Amino acid sequence: MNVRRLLTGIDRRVIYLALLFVIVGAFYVPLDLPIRPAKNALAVHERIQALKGTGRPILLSFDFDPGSEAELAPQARAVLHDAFDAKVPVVAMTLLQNGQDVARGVLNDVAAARGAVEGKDYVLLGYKPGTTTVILSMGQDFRDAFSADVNGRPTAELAPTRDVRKLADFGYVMSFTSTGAWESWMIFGHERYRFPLGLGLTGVLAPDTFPFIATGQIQGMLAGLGGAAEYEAIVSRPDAATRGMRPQSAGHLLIALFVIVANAVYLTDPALRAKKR
Amino acid sequence: MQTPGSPPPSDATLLLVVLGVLGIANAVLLATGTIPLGVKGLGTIVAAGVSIGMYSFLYRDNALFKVAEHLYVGVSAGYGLVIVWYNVLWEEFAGPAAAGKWSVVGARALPVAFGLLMLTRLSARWGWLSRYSFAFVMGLSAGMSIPLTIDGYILKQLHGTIGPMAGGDMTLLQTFSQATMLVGVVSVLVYFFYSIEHKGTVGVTSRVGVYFLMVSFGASFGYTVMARLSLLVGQLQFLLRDWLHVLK
Repeated sequence: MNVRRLLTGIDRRVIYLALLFVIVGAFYVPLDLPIRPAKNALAVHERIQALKGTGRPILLSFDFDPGSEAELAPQARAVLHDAFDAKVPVVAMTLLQNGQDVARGVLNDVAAARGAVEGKDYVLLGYKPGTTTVILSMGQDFRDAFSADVNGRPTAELAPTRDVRKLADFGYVMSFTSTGAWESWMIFGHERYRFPLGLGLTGVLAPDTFPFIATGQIQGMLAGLGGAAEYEAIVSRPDAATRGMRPQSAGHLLIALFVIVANAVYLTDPALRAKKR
Repeated sequence: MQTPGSPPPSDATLLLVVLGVLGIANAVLLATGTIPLGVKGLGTIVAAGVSIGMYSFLYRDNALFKVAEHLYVGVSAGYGLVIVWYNVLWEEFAGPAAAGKWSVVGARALPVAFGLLMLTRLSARWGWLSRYSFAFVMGLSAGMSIPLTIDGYILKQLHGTIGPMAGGDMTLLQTFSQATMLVGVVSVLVYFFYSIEHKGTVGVTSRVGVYFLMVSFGASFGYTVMARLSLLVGQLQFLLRDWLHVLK
């Protein structure tokens, strides 16, 4: 049997099945892997903990749709648990039209688990279109941008938003997003109005933010499901993200194996060696 | 996958097999009470069916995938339209107009007019009217974004790249890290500078830039793989736990 021919001729659907088998199998293997929180995840936690007892609320922007819920909802849940633990008021909003119900679902779940009361411990402002214009409007006059919450109650009367006049009044602003909304928050929000900004991003976007974290333009970042697992470890509340790390790691190992084998086959190809000579 | 020489299963056969398996599985789950009979149970069944329909594309393009894809696009568009109507159009304009709040309507009349002008783009005869709206949007965007983008993307990044080297206490590791970053930035910029031929010193520097780019592409690829696997893990958790109830 020609091994090279076998390896170069594998049907891609065999690879898909192998990945499926490994990931599903990993769900049932009782092997807990250590999760070491990264510096960027710890920075988010420190920012929220620093607001304990100050009365200043945090703003969480759920700028993602159900397509990215698997990565970003666990991040949002872990951050909400941390905020409710520290008794920091939470103000939630979304810049994406499909994000409103996602935000409501996550908030309702965590609030029910923590006994948090809407209007007292947290507020959902809802959706406003425009991204950049919404951020600029909130930066200048918060009540002009959001005069009422999603239930129609005036923001001037709700405990978490009573003392908020502009974006800089928030102790920390965090955007959970799978789109370019993070750039708008940074450029039109943080650069202009100088509030501390954190991000919860899908894994695809995370590398783009490292230069801005290094210069201090972004203060804290959670990257993908791994970032959510790190934050769950920080707040000692293992949940969906922690459970997902085992199959995730198994999938990564399998893909790394495929890459190594493919490169070995390619580099030992006699035709390639002949061409190099 | 099929044995060599045998014809692939037809679309109709594939559709019948998948629908049959889904139907039997859901019937068993409903009969045993694993999935409750009701709106929530129906939602879980539809979500599982659409997920499997989407993943069926990995075998090959088929009718079930097409149904799932069109359903997804249609529901997203419809849902988005309803959200925009209730959260934006009704709340900001139609609602106040219906309630007779003419001061609010008056304040929003011009933006609404600009918005309606944009729709004239669809007309060959009146499309020129949309240029006023687009010109306003372009001018506003340029005016707002250019200074902030220059500050955020260029000046602050320049400061972060060169600043630490100009002085200040740094450990050996920080010095090495900063020097590496400086070499990377300069060599990548040289690579993208096409006005000088890439040979000699410029060629070597450009080659170094290529290696830095390859490392960054590798890091991006790794994060992308992680992101896509996370979505797969999330969806499998839903199918195994919430639909089949074979995972705690």
